[in-house]
Amino acid sequence: MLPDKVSDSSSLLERSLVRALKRGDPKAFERMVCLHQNRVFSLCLRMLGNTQEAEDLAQEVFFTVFTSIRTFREESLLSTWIYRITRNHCLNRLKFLRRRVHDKKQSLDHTRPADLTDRNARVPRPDHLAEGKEMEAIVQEQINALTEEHRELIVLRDIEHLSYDEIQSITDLPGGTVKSRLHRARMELARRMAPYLSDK
Amino acid sequence: MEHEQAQKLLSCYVDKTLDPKSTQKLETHLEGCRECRGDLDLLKKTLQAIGEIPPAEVPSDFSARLRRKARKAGLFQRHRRRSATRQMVPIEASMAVLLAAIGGLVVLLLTVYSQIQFEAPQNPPAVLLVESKDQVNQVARSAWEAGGEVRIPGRPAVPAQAPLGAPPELELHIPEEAWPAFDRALEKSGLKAPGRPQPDADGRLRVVVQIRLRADAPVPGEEDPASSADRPRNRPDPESPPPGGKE
Repeated sequence: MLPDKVSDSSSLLERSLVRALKRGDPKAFERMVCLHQNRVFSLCLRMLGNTQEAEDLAQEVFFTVFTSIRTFREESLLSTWIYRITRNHCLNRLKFLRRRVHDKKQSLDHTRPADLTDRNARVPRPDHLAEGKEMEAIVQEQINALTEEHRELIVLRDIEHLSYDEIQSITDLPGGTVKSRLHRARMELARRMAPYLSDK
Repeated sequence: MEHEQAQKLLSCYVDKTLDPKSTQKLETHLEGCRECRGDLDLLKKTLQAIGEIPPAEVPSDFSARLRRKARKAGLFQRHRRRSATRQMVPIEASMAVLLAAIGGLVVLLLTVYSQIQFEAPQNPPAVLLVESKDQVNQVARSAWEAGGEVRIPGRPAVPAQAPLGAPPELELHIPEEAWPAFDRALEKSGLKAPGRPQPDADGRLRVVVQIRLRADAPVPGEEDPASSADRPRNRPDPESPPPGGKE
């Protein structure tokens, strides 16, 4: 019974937050940002691979959430709805960045001096791999190398640990497609990661 | 289990979302397939490497900067304005329309009421039936002699002794104090005076004279032998209607 009660109580809190947001309450905006900023920022960062871009985009996401909250029909969790907006913003930003980079004849990675993949502009040898940040940078670089449709599933499932149901709701993909595409994405990432993992 | 099918199930196997039967079949295949075991190992290591990525930390001043940016962009004001506008559509807009309708109705009623107020409140008039043109003239003369007014409905008062033509109805306004004189004048003409009506707010008594000409009575506009006998032939009949039948 306890989980139900907890769920009911969090559902009530969420409904109350949504109502306050629909009223345009600035405090509700702050509360929403406080509750979801980590996951929104994380999703942006893992999708874009750049801290500054991720921060800018996360801000845009919260602006969009606040200004379009009236269109939220409360048929899903607020967090799922926010994720969906975040995912759409990320895909749009990636398209924009790809166009811009393509125009400049530069690779996306080379336009980010301060991003996570910066440290990996040089390709580290597997025997030089350090723990922690360096591996994080390698993983991020290999995630960045995936197609967007593969990248988003790796990020949503294996980094953000969302359920398949949530992923379906966020991406509008059928369950079977999510699973098969995720499998292909994982195998692609594994193939790319192989040189760095062989001695692990 | 086929190798291709086994490859497709590796991801679900790692996620532990395979049903027991498929799990058993895949495990049997893995025992005899080195390639699938290698792929499974690589997949597990990859997921482990991803799992070791520390959670992304949002910059400490993210919230404060977002708040500043929101205020600078007028996010809350815009939202409130939009909310107010949207909320006004169902409730306040309806109220506004309703108030406008009520206001319009009040203005209309006041206009009508003011017009009504300018006319003195009226009591029911006395009704006098006459059956000939002569009687019409006698009634009118009686009213004029008593100091009253003779009106054809919808027109200004007829000047004393002016020709009346052949109206279907006359309205007499007799001053209250002149009623006895009017009454006597009528009796002298052989007409029966109607009952005295209640005076209106302006102190006048109203008499409506309804003209019902008898079949044997002279038709308006035609020569009345009785009245034309003592009138020169070349003089126009003052009681006949003007050319065209209109007055």
